[in-house]
Amino acid sequence: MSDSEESPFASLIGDFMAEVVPLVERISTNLLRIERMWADGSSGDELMASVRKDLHTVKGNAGMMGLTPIQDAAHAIEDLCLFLVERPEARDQNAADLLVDGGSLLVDMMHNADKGEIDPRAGVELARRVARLVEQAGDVGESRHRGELSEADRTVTRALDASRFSADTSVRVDLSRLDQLVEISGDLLVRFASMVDDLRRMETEIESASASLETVLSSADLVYRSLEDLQSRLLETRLVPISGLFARFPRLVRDLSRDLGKKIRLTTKGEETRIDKGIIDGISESLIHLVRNAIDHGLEVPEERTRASKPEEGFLRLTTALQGDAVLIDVIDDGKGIDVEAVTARARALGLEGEQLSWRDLIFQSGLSTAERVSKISGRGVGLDVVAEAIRNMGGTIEVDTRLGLGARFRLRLPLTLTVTSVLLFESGGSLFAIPVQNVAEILNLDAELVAEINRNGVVIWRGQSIAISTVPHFHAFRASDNPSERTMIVVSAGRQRRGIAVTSVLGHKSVVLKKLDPILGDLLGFAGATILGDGRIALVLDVSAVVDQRKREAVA
Amino acid sequence: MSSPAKILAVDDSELIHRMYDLTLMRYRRHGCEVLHARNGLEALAVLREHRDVDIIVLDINMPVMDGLSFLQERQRMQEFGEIPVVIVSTEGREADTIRGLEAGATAYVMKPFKPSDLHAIIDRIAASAP
Repeated sequence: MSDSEESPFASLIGDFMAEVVPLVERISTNLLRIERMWADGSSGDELMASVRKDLHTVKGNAGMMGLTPIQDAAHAIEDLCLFLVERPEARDQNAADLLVDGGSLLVDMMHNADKGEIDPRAGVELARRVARLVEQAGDVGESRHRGELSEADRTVTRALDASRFSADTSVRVDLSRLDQLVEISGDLLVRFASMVDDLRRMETEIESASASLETVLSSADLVYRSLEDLQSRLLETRLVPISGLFARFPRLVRDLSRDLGKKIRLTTKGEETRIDKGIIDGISESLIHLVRNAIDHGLEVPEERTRASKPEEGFLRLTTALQGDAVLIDVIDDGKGIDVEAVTARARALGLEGEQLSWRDLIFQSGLSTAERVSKISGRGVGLDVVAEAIRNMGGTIEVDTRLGLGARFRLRLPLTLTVTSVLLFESGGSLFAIPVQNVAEILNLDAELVAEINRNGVVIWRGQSIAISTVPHFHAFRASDNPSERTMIVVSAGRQRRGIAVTSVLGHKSVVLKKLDPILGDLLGFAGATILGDGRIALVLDVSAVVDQRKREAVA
Repeated sequence: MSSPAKILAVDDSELIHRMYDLTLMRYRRHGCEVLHARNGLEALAVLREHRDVDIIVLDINMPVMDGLSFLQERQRMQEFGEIPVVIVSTEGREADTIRGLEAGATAYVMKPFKPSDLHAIIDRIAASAP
């Protein structure tokens, strides 16, 4: 936008975004809360004073940046707020809608502010809508100057919200640059760990030099600790509060419940929890999906809830908490729950019952979730396979709990960060490979006598289930009759599916930094990336979901 | 005082502080130090530490202690009473500007302001100072 280019402060757009985006998100959320408070018969005046203070800051800062449309929009909402403070009788649904729309518009505009993609007419249009509403409400109070606040009002404004300004100053860093730094520090860490291993080995080999080696080792330990520190600090810089994602839900819940004629109270907890930016981006669609499902299929309309002796207003809760080095995100509703019987029956009809899977697994199966009929029977399910896949791709898991008639809880368990992955290293055909540990089910001796051959494919019975065996790197079928050198099998799993990988030997666990494969290598099906080990060797990392997937595997083999 | 040696900027917005850094660059080049405070209370603390502040640039709406309360404090405490204050106000809050001037502010500037707006005021104050 030309306005921002003319601004002498255009270079501060990063600071502007960092400061004002959270502010407009809070304005939008608070305007939704005000709408609800009005519906509940309370005035919401204190919250309104806080919103007006925020709007004033947004207006001033946008003005300084030369972002006139945002300045106009903030100004228009500010005017509307003042009008509604002075004229409580004008607080009808129309006014509430305009407030909420204004809040969303402001959020949208802000998110595009650094791309220069703001519709210059949006602010003016909002101002027009405000003017129309004020006119229709029969405004005669033109006598009161806009700048003249009542003394009580000023006191409230002054007293409010000492918390907005947080002392920590922020630097905006390009995420890709940060990723490179994290990668470098991860590499350093891995290489250094291996150097320490070498020194230890030397120490046992050279008895005589052990005293001086001891000194080297202890200083190496210190360096190692600093490297770990550097690594964790760098990882922390990638962490952002989940509040930005949660801020999208009040509007979604409000609009959806209104469309469906439902009454829903959304509560959130743990918004301040900080998790990896990449994970937040990776799960946002899934979380929206779960919330939509809960509103669409879980929570009932008021009449139905009354019949079931529940409060008219449905309960929807989003919570985030840290547990060890994992993040838990729960989506909880007190709707009608999932009909486990129906899910099981449907699975039987699809011929899935022989696999001894509980409904907890079945509900995330694609066969179950794509059929329209099932979503009606089970009350859930559309697209849950997609959600589960997305969560697995983030290295996470999803669990479900339900009681028929009482509600359901979906729990996402995600790693805090994406950059360091724990893998199992193995060797096959003289090359090194790695499998993310969350995909490893078991490691077995591959006894040739236990391997049956079906259609020239090696198969073993594992826990009552027959699983096919492949070799790396091409995922050809393993055949014991060829008398191969592979004597060990790693059972890998992704979701419900399992597969055996025949390997020469298993080398152990390592924490590694996963690197994407250079596009120049083309699409290496079956591999998610590569990692450089401490000694400089390279190991390809298996993409287990592609390996176990029947269709993708055929494409690979 | 031909050019100010120390300017204290008081605002609760980190962004605005960065803007002051840019705006006041031409004084900083001549050795002027720009001090920062996030509210009136912090500003008083900075003034106690730096006795040689030449000009205060003051936002009105701030948490903890706002600009008007700061001006009242400043009037009560004689030691700081002489330092010229430029209040920074926003369109629609003209009443605050008037109160600020009544409480002893020397000049005011309206957001959104251009660097040259503030330069003109600071230069005028510097020229009139002993």
